Amino acid sequence: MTHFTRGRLARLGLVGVAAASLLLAGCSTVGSTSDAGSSDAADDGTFTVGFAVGGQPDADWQDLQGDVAKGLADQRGWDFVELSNDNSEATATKNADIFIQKGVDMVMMFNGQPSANPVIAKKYADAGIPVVTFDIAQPGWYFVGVDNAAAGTDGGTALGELAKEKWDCKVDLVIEAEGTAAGQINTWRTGNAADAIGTVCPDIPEENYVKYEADGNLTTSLANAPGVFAAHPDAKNILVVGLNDQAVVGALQAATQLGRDGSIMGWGQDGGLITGPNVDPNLVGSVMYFLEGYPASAFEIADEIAAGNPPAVKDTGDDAAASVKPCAVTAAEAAAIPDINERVKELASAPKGTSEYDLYCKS
Amino acid sequence: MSDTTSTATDFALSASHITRRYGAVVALADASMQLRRGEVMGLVGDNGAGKSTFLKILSGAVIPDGGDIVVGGSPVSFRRPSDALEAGIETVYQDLALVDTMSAVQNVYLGREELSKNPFLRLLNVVNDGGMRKRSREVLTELGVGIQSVNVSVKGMSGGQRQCLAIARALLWGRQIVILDEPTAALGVRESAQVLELIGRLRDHGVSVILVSHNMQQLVQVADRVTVMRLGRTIATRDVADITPEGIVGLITGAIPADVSTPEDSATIVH
Amino acid sequence: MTTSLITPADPAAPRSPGGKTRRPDSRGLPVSARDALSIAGVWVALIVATTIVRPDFLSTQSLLAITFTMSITGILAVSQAIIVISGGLLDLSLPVSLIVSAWATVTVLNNGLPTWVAIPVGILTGMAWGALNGIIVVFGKLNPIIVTLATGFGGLAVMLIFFKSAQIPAQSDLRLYGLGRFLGLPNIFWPMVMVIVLGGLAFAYTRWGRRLIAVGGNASAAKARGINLRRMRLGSFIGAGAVAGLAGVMFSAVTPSFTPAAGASFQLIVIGAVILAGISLSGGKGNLLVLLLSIGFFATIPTSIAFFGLAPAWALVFQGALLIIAVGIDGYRLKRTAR
Repeated sequence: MTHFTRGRLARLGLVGVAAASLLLAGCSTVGSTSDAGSSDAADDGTFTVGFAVGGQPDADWQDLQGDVAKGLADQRGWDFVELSNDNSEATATKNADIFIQKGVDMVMMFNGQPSANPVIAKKYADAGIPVVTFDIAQPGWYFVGVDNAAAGTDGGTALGELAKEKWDCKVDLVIEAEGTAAGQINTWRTGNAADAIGTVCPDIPEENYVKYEADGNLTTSLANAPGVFAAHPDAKNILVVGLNDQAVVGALQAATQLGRDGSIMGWGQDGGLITGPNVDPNLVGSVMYFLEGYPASAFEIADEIAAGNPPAVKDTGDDAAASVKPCAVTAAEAAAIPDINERVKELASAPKGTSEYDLYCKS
Repeated sequence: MSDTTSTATDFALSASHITRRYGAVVALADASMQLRRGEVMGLVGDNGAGKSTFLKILSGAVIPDGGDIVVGGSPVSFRRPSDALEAGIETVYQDLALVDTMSAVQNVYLGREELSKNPFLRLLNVVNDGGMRKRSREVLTELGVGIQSVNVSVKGMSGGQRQCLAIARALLWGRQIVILDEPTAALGVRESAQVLELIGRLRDHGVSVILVSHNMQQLVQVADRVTVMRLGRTIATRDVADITPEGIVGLITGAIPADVSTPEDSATIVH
Repeated sequence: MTTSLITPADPAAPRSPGGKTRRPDSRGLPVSARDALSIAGVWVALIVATTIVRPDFLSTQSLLAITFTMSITGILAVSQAIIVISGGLLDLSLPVSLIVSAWATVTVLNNGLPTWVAIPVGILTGMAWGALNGIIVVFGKLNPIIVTLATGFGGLAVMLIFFKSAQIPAQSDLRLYGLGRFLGLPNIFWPMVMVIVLGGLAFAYTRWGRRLIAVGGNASAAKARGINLRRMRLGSFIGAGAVAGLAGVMFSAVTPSFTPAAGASFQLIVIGAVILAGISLSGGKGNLLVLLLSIGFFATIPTSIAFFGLAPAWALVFQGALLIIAVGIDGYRLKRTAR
């Protein structure tokens, strides 16, 4: 009897411990960002901005968006309420109720679970509160996002210029490391980059352009790219573009594994792997988006709303209320750009209306 | 193994006054058995008479609440099946005996694989396949167990072959006592005969066998004595020579009075 | 050979003429051999088909591409095979096991410690992860698929707290090893071959291997033979974890930067290769040399696709379809042998 009970207890205990650690893990990922903003938005006539950060665990730029927005609000003497959507539909919906209850004059948000957005949109529409959404479009909301189409073109143009300068446009292979799951964004970033190379170097024959699936991550890219190099054994001068830095570096690594890295150049997107001590020597450049700087664009809209003449709502990626300008940088230029925390500080102390593009990309 | 003589005091296994309850349910009220060396003891009883609990206690799968077990003259206390195996008691279950995906020789030596004689390979946990194959062939031949090859998977073997293999394994491992639970239950007439024949050969090798069976004809054919259980008690033991199948059935059903006093209409025993 | 008291009653029973001694590993050899032949057959067919379309397929570049792709997948497949053969169903947390070991390895290197510390730490991390899974499965008496699904999610979440991406030092010995070649093939290919050979020998010829197969094939029978099921199950998880840890070390050597979720893309291919190799999900059965063929076949698919010039997503379509076919064949075999 006792034996049976003890075994059962031990089992329950183990399950308990496992469950608790999972729960703990789950809780910790959302961190301590859910503390409501300090200023209690009493309706004293001061313009009040409600800001909901995404709260996704692997993206500290989301929290930093909150910091940037706070600085911009302070600069204007506005009230500021920050909440975190905790990467959860339920929290995002609840936060909408809180903002409405607090009587904010407008809301800026990133919601990683867009399935909840229609419900949230209804709430705000009923309350008559305008909303700026980052990166994920929702009808009726001002759309602010990076100009992916320009990002692709800028990166491709820069890489094409390098090929023209170094190889006189004699390019044997242009590899497009696709992330088809990203849909239109993939077309903009990867496809536009390849098109831009063709614009700079129009004599590269059609058949020298090759696509493969990299799925936007280095591991998949590294698994699938070797076949591409093997299938083009005679290609010497090789260019690589792709959905992001991970995809491009995966191809560059595959080239190294197959001994094909003698004459290869890659230009990434998103700047994920272009800084730090271990930049791939063949990743010659990337395009930075300064995601933490989105609020700078959002506050331009906010200024108009606060002034009493709200602009027309532009709510799609093709026709955005404000496009964040991407910044194509070479590896050397990227090294000169300060890290994300430093950038947030500098942006906070910059004059009103300054974007990060203005600060770091004017050269 | 060479000692085939037996006397009343020289028991291979002696279990006395074993009890076991599950909560309020008394599965085993008082079970005793004296098993001589080199005899086949039948164990019979109606469903719920306590046979399987008794077997499980003798094979170490169930821990008794009370009673004593003596094996080969020394008292034992089984906490798990491996204790019983170490004491020389092999239990052959109907369905659990063999691993289908393994060969005959691997099954025969399962859990007791011989390690290589080479000290280096031995250190690496490498088994002595050649030795095990040779020895299992010898034993199987000796017992007249016919299989195509000890190397082929047992999956393709007939039910009789599988049963014989499981039983022969006991002898190969030098077991003194083998417990067989319904060894012919799923077999046809001819295959049953092969198994019964094998049980006889085990006895010839000095192995004591406890044989549970519902088939009285088979039992009187192969067993030396038979112990009858009723309502959680062992109520009688008879020489097979002195009793007919009908007599055994009488003891099982209660038509013939038991040797010991039993609370026949006891309400404490629940089936 | 015998005085055949028992005649071979079952016509389906395999016969061996005169009971002649067969190859040592004759347990299920006919089946393994059949699996090996059929996989080698389709692999050759794929190679021939690709070569007809593109004669330059048969090149050292292709060989490099395929062997490189085989390397980490192969080590992971052995880890998965240990779990499957020993009756642990599947370890769905393998991608986490891989990344957590790789992360431990590069963390040690980034702290300036030498390679000979980093490699054992990586392997021990894999073992610890396996032990965690094993303890929950064995003592919680829970379904391994559910447990590893849960620990896989939980582990990913925990990793996301500790790092967003991890980089191996560019000049470390391990990194340079990952970029080098031996006998014309990628360095990391050879540890994979060693793991397959040693694992295959261990399953076939050691007491441990025998008992793992037995526990996977028929746990009740193994238990009745006095084999400690808990110890074997726990041992299989820890052993598989050690192999996954080695995969993590090799992964860190070839991947200059990785994120916590970077292991996800191995899941489908590893499970597909294991099942296609005839390593039945019902346990107790499997041959690692057949697994090597299966991995080679799977690794050839993306290269062939590139040579055919097909749209890239086709590689995943083919690999997914193969997984379904393999599971189907496994189910068919089970049904047939259940008679």
